Amino acid sequence: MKGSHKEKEGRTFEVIKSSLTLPYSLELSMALRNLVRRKIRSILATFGVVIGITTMVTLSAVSNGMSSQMVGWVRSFMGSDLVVTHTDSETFSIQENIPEDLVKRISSIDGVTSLTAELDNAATVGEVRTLVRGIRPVEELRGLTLVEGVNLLESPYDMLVGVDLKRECSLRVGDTVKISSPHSAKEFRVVGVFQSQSSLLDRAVIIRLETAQELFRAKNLVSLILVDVREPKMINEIKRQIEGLTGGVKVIRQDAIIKTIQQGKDLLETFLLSVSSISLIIAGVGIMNTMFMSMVERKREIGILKAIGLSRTQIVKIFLLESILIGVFGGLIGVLLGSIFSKAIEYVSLNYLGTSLFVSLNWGILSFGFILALLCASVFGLYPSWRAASLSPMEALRYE
Amino acid sequence: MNRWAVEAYDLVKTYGNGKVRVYALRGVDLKVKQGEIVSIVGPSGCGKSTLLNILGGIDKPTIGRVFVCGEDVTAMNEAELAHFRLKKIGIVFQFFNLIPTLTALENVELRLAASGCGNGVRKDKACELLARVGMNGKEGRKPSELSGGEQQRVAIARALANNPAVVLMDEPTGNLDSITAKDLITMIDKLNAQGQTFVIATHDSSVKESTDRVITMRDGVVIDG
Repeated sequence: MKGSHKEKEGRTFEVIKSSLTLPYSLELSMALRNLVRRKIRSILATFGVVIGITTMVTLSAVSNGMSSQMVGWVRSFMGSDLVVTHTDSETFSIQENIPEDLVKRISSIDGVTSLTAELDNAATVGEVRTLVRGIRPVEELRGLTLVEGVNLLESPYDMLVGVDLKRECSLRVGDTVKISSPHSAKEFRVVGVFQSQSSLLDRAVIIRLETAQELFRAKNLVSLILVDVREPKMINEIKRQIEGLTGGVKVIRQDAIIKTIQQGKDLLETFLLSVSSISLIIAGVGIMNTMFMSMVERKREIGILKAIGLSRTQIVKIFLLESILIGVFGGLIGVLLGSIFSKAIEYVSLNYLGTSLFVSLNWGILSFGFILALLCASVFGLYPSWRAASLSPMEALRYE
Repeated sequence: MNRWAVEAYDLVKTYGNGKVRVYALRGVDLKVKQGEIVSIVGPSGCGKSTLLNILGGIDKPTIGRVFVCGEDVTAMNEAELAHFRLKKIGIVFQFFNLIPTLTALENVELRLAASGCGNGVRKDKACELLARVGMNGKEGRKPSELSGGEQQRVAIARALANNPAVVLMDEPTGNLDSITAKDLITMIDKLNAQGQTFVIATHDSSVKESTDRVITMRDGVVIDG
């Protein structure tokens, strides 16, 4: 018997300890130099990850922006049980309007407690094209919080600006700004700054309804009427009565809107996740291919590493670090390009397409993109690394 | 304390399977004392390299047992063999086999690092080992920037890292000119003075003459020594 049980135990501990310790600085420099040695292949593998992550970040930012914009819209109507719009109006389109006299007729229905009329349209505020909303009564700032200044109580040419627009145009309370619609242009005075739960509204302007009707040549027209009902059980009855008042309008329940948005958001997210997953799987296969090629080319090197005493774990670490580095570079570039593309989409949408598509980029999306790149590189790099480390030293050393 | 650095009993190594079997070793017995320099000579294909690979735990014998410093190498699992090669064995190959992307210093450091040697100590030790083989001043050069003789020196320094009990050399002068080969032999003599055991497979008569004992092999068996 060569050695006691205790000695054997001690030796096993030594084996485990030494199989784990290889300083990252040396491994890192080996991994980096190997990637540089095969530049084109490394760049192509990284490019795959870049495409995947860019797609994922861009689509997530757009979908997030869209859903938060929609949710923001709904939240800004919070407190109103019913929304009355034009029959052809889709997702609160700013083109279709309804007659203003409907406001009076709805208010006479028993059970209706309060009403707000709004007229939405796009206009150029200073140099920025954005949403201009006229409201009445001005005391009803539904879903909005006045963070600076006062409400629109004095002059018809007073306006409230959203916090984002204030920042973008460097506006201050007391400043005068020109609002130009295709029909007319007027000077307005900033009297207050508001904040909402919608990125669209935070970049919008609020003026009096009468002034908006004059600005957009929409006399006696409104886009929306928000209706509050005394008791929830009366909602359906009042909805039916409003629909009976006139043709050409539709009455939507608040909870129905929220449900529809939620369903749409879920569907969109599933779709985008599938698209991103496919591109990431393709990127992962690219990494796997690169690592397999690298393993075949470096069989002899693996044999040397094994012959001089490196353990399987240490060799896995060296190879895995290479694929993780591809993930790090791909992830960083992907996140950066994704952010740029998202912002570009927003810019083009706002300035050239006349639509207001806002993207919502946050640290959550960026970190998720980066972590996904690392995860993808690690998962797809693991098998080739394990195969490399599993080669027998003799087999690897014989490789020419 | 075991006086044998290396013990091999009835080593048989065959390649292939079924009806076609090639015998590389046909029952080799071998003992090498601690601190001894032994050369293994014989014609190409006689089994010298196969024997060295088995002694170094790189390959496994089909039959037989190998003990290095009293430890049964043939009974070790993969992880134990890696640890054994790291701590007890230094290997020098005919074609140097340095890692091309690493500098001379890093090639030596790699083996020290694998055994858990800390950054500062590791660098000092690697520099000291390179100085012992006359490579000071060339630590930062990559293998492609070194001559054959210099690469072989780095390979020896790497083999000596972790102070192994046994250094196995497979045709260490096979790719060197006669002057460089002579330098290498002198260096092995100096290193042996520090107590390490050397087992050298060689065709080179000058290497053979400088060793304590010569083992002659033919057709997979030891015929002399």
